[in-house]
Amino acid sequence: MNGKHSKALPYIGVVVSIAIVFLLVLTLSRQKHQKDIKYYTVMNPELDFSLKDQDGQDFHLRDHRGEIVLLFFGYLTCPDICPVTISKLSRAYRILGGDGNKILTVFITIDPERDTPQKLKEYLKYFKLNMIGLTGTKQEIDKVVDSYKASYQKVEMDSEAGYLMDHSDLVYLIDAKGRVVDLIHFDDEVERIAQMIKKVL
Amino acid sequence: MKKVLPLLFGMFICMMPIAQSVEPQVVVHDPWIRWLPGERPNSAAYMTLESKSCGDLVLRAVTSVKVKTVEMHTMDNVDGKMTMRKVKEIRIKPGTQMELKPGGLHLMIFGLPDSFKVGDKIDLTLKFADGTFKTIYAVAKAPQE
Ligand SMILES: [Cu+2]
Ligand SMILES: [Cu+2]
Repeated sequence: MNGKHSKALPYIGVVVSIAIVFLLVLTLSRQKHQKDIKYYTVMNPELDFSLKDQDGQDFHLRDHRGEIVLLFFGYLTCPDICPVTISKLSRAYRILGGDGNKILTVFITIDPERDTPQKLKEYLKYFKLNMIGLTGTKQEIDKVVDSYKASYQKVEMDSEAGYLMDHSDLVYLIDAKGRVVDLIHFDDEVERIAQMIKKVL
Repeated sequence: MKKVLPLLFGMFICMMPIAQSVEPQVVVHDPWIRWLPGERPNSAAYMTLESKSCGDLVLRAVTSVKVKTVEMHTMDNVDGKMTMRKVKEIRIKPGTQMELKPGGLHLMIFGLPDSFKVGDKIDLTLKFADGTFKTIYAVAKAPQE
């Protein structure tokens, strides 16, 4: 009887320690996950905003629950960051295959002075993505910019060139509940972007 | 030795008492310009400049017959904002390459012609501090690439 016990003891020890490690990893990863979510819900805590789309229709983020939304701020005459961002996103969607069609891309102009709904429409048509262009008054747009802790600045150039807009390069990865779950940077490789999106699909 | 040879050759060239060269000592790789949908009068052009010069190669100005103005711009992330700024010159050390690429150093193109389309070639004359210049042609590519 005694001998049997001493033989089983090491096995029980192994099983118990595996269980402890497993639980520990589980709680730690869950804690980490919760911390991330908490951090990103600092952005747009209302999980909603409203602006006008390229057809002049009201857009509410809350109407898009259940969809994955990739949102960013920019302007149509942007010579570099915006076109590269759109190009990278469309290549990432291609990697995701059919799943790429489920994603809604939202482009919010920070240059309502020049970017009319008509011009937004023209621009979006070219890219053939499931993409919405949003505009509004400066005050309306600023409110959304602030809620996502984004930033932009108008930079006056010499008379002929008009002005440029410096703006944040982040793309907000928004889950089916309207929460910002990840941030895509301008430097991120297309493969990495696809991986980030895949996690929430 | 493979690395030393061109260096020696370069030194030899540099020591030659040649008259003021008329051609800039630069090789320009893959010049292209981004075409954008809609009426977009402005864009950016990119290329790699490989210096074959003995001293610093200094790009001072860029002009074009087809567009209104060309400026040299940097792009930096300042306080979370992607910020473009005009620079007076682009300096390339001897034997090195300078890459003008999306999200970085670029030629800012203002006032493109209305007819501008994918495949068009825009002339760009690079003017260097030593008085030499070189005209290259940037090919218009769609933003998907
Ligand atoms: Cu932009
Ligand atoms: Cu620029």
